[in-house]
Amino acid sequence: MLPFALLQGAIKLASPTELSGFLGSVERRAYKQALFAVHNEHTALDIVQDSMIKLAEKYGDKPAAELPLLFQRILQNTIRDCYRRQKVRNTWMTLFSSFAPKDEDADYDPLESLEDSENRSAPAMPDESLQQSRIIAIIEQALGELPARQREAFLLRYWEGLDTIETAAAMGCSEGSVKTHCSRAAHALAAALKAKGVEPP
Amino acid sequence: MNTNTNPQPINPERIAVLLTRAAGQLDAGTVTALRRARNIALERQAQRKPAFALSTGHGAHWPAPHSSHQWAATAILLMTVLAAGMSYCHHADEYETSHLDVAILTDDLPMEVFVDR
Repeated sequence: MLPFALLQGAIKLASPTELSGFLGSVERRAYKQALFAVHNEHTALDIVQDSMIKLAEKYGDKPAAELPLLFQRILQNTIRDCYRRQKVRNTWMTLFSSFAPKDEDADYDPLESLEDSENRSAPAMPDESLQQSRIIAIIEQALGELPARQREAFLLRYWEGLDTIETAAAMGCSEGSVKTHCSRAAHALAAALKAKGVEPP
Repeated sequence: MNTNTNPQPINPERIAVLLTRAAGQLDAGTVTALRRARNIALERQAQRKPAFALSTGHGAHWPAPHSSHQWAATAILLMTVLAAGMSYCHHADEYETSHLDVAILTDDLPMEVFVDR
């Protein structure tokens, strides 16, 4: 009597509705994570789509409770794969760049525009919202400039709400490393806010 | 004199709230693209049928049968191979025996018959 009833209750597999709900709840954060990592909207969207497809194809029938950790592992691995491809591409680009004419706009960083509090083309906002937007922009920029492992640990731990053990499992490292990465990331974010003259939230 | 240059510590939970707020303000095009990506993923899940896949844990899979037809075909194939193997062993044994019989009758036994193996 015991095994079947217990087993059915304990191993509740994710239905398409549950998977859809899970993906819907995580897709924006996943996109932002990818965007912080690769600084390109199209690439970030590709990463999220690839991760979703891998989750649905390979682990779509796993219990719903396992989906968050599985998805984060897939997402982080997909981001790392993208880094590797970029590295190979950059090697070739560097090789051929000496033959191409110098591009004047090559050093333009679109994130710089996020800091532009003097931008008068932006719609008028209340002071508090404006200040908050500025803080968000600074935080996002600082996150984008963090070393990949620190950013990964910080976002998984504090934004995705994984505990230290789950974060370590998703990152494929020890719990001690997770704590170190999180601490350094928090310190770097605080320093970035201080450098911009913003009170840490 | 206070020489402390350490920045004021941040509250990670508060940072997370701000990041969530920013993620909620994505532009319509990105939201649509994300929804499209989600739908594509869900279609892939729908296409996938339950299968007995022997995973090696490294992304590779053994070629295991996925449907009742494939299971039946595999069973027939295995039985055919088994029958062929048994038949071959039986015929080989029979051929060796008859070969020895002929050799005894013609008094033409090969040397290896007298050697202990």
